[in-house]
Amino acid sequence: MLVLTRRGGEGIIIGAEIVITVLEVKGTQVRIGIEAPTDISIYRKELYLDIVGANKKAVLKDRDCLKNLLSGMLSKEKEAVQGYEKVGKGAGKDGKMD
Amino acid sequence: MGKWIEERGVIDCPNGLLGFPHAKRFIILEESEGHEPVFRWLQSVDDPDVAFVVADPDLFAENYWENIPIGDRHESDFKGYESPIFLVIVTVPAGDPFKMTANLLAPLVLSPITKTIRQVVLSHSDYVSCYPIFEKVRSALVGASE
Repeated sequence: MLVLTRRGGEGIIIGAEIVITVLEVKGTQVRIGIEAPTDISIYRKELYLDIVGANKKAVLKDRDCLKNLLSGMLSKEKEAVQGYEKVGKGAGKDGKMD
Repeated sequence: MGKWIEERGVIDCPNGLLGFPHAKRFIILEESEGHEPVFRWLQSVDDPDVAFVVADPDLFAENYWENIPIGDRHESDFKGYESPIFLVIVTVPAGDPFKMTANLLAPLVLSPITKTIRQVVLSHSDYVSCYPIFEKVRSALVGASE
């Protein structure tokens, strides 16, 4: 890893098009400004890693398992209903956690 | 869900999905069982092992798009994506499908015009990456079959 020491107001240029500026240093926090072409996505690292992890977990391994579950729900099979009751609540109303 | 999804065809994903940079082309498959399907399959054309279950986020979060904070809507991610179609990736844990969740934090945005898809991270929103959906899937299915 390349390590550089910068002060507030100083910056770093990556390639020809990406400019990173240290805007403010305050206690343990650093405010950073980033200028980059619009086709370059910029993420907070922890959020990026969260989504990568979620995507990897979501890769479908067993198509039949889901199909069986869905047809089970449709025919209101006992197993599906029991499973439903087992899962219980925990979900908010609008896609956000309570 | 837009009419466009019903048309079969390859969708380009120029940046890949997060963690899957090599998966740049997908097709969307659906199981037709006589009703509007809740789930569709997003299948990589480049890697047969990469497939996801996807769904319309409005099933799980009412007015999904309207509730995306302005700070996220103005991101360059949406540039050129007029009348975008949103899909969210569903995780179905092996052996415990009742604990299925949807990733509302990082939806896939499809442009019907350019036939491209990209994953965006709604960093200003309160949406979560593992929102439990089984209950809502069940009522959507049972409701559709009655």
